[in-house]
Amino acid sequence: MRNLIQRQLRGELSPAQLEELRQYLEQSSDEDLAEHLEALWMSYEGESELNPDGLERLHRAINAEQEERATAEQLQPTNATRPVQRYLLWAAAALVPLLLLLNVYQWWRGANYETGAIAMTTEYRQRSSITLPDGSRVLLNEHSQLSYRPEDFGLDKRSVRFEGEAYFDVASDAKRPFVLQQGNLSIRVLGTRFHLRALDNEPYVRIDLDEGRVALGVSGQKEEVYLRPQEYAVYDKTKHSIEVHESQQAGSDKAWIQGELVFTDVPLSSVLSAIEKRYGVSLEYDAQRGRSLFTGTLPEDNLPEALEIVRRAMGIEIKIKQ
Amino acid sequence: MNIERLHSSPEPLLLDMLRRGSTHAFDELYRLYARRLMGFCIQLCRSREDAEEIVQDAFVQLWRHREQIRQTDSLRAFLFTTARNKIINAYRTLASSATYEDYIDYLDALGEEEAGGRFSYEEFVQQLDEALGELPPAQARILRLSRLEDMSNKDIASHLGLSEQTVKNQLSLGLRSLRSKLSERGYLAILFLLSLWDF
Repeated sequence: MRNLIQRQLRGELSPAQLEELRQYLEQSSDEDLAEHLEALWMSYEGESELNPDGLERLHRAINAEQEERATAEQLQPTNATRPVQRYLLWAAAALVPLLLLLNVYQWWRGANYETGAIAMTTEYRQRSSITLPDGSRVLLNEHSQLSYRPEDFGLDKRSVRFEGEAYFDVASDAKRPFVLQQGNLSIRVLGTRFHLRALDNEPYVRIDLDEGRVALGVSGQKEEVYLRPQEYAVYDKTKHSIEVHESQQAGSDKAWIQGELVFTDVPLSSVLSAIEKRYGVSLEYDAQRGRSLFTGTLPEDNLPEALEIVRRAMGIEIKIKQ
Repeated sequence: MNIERLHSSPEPLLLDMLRRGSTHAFDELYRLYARRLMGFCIQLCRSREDAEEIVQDAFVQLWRHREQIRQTDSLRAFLFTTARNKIINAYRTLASSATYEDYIDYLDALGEEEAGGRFSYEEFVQQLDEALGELPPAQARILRLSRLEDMSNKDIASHLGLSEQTVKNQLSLGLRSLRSKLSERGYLAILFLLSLWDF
């Protein structure tokens, strides 16, 4: 049978064999057919040129699909659900010029009159800057959501919920504590700047404090942990414990705020020295290749990834000097 | 200078990065695998457009299910799993299509010696489409329904609200002019194929 399919793939099928193939296909289950096709795929070595904008279209398709699912989730009726209001907000080009995708946008949702929550979501490869009603600024990294209920964000308190990764610059206002809820962890803020990483798929939440003071509390526990500038706290989601550490300068998690390193026809030696500077490391490579030109975008928050991209693009070995 | 040699495949690293949500790793994996998947899908469904859709969908699913990739999975196998149903459907559709049968007949009629100058399936479909496009619309429509979609004269008659006799007349008129269009283009092999189309 596989023979017939192979002949068909090569375009060598006779009319009689097509008839045979059709009979086989009629009788066989999808499972059988899948098994044959998978075996052929696993040893397939051919290639075909892609549409040049294929990757870009793929990114758009991913964004569209995620948006669709997010909307579907929002629309899950609780009791009475009103239509979701959605406004295109600001064009992000001015805020995050380094993003690969330019069609970045945000939307506010008057999600559901039942809960009245207002949510701001970023999707794959989207970042955005938000200004809250009190003047606090939040820079959201991709796949993040910040939400609040208008009645909880007003005269006497400022409560928000958050999932994902973001940098917060909270407006100072001692009378209205800014309280950020992330799962079981609550972060009480007076006026401060800090970075928060709380991803669904990671067991820890990390808070890096730049300025001011924050108090961390875990629901069900009375004690709060205070964090000072240049310290960071790690909250263990399963143990419900908080540890405080001194910040190290290099390799901080919040480098994404600055975006990415973008190079267009830049000599390799300059690219690598930019990486050295960015990550505070020293690199070894074949100096004869130093004048080769590199074009590409490197992350500012992931050294192994940045190096891997350069290695692959240039076909060169790079080693970190210990 | 002592340079560490890295000969291992970058795939495990890229997959690990992908699991943790790296868009760079995702793009890199696309560059590594999309061309091959495209080649395979084009051969399977003989349509660039369909193949592009399958490839795009496979990678959308890859991103969506990135957290379910296990350490031991190969990306190749994972991609097949995500695209499996579409690939099977595309394959079944192609193999059962009347036009594809015509194409196989056409190749057979050409024989070995002319193998170099033969149309690809996509070109074949396009030539047929263009020739059909030059016919009066009603005739072209009836020809398509009859041959490309395998409908009986009776079904066509009720589908278009015509009498069966009208359908027959239009079909024979349409076939005659299609033959002359194709012979103007010099496509004798396709012409031969049309002799199989006598009803």
